[in-house]
Amino acid sequence: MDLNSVVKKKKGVVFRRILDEMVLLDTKGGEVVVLNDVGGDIWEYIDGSRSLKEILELLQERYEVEREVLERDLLEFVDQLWEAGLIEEVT
Amino acid sequence: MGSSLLFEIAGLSLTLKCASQKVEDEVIDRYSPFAEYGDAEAPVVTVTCGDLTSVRGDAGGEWPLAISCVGNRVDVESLGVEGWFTTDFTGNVKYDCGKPELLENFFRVLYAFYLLNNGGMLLHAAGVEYRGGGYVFVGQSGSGKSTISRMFRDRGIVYSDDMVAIREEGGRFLLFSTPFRGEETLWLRDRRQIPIEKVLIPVKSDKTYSVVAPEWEALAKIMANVPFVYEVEGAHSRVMRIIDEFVKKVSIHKLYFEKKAPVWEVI
Repeated sequence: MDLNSVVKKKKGVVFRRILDEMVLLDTKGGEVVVLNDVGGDIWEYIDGSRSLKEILELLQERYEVEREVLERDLLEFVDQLWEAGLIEEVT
Repeated sequence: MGSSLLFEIAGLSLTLKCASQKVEDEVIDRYSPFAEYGDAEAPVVTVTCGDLTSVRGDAGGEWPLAISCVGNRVDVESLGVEGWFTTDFTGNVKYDCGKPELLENFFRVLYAFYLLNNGGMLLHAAGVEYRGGGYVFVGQSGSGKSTISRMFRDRGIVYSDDMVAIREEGGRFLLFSTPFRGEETLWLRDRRQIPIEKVLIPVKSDKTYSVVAPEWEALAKIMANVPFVYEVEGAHSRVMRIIDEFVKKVSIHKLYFEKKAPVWEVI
């Protein structure tokens, strides 16, 4: 996956934000995943139409972190979501 | 068809019409007083004769089921026992005697949706009445629900050691007994209800104490233990609305417990 990729939340994942945490439940496997505030923001920005580059720009507006660091963390995080079966790439 | 049976859990009724006396007897024997002879204005579920040759064994003691939804109809299949119900909770299940767990799978799924439509939910949890309050111990199999239920057998009233019904009435959440149980000996043959005092998340430990659960953990635990209804995507927002209310209004704690310690002293 790279910054041009577009991803969407998989059907069957229900989620709720509570304070700084985002709780995701994969209703197919019953797995619960808890994301921190940055992870929760990324999850909310993933809408099936924004590219990862656009999500990176939104994160930059919100967090004072170097772009390279933010980019690396975003790509790593999105890979983890994909490996956990919570998102899929839009082709 | 024989006579009508009235099936009721958490104040939600069904009229059961069984095709054979044998099935009727089995239902009464297993579910009384949740099932009794009688009539009421309630959705009708027919239990027609199933073909036992299509029942595919017991999968090693597990009773798996498949749930699917087309339009306003939910289909339930459990090892060859097939049933369906619509959004008004009329339905049909094909069943013959001898595998009551399979028929129960159908009832569990139907009531999960019936409760959801009435501001409630089925919860994978044990429930007990103790000193005038309802206590719910929520967790998957192996989390300690049955162990804790056994501790309350002589000190309180065990509503179920496996699956309880919860409904909001008058701004507070009530715990209801169900006939859906894990261990046979812990089954309460009584329809009861009581306001929920506390929800506890059991955690096996070498000490026994309870602490308020972090909000994310409380939410995650409840979300993960509402069975069946997530299988229908159109139900997700309703489930989450009820869970939101539930975690807002009910006190949820983590219960660290040692197997032989007096859990009732720390809840």
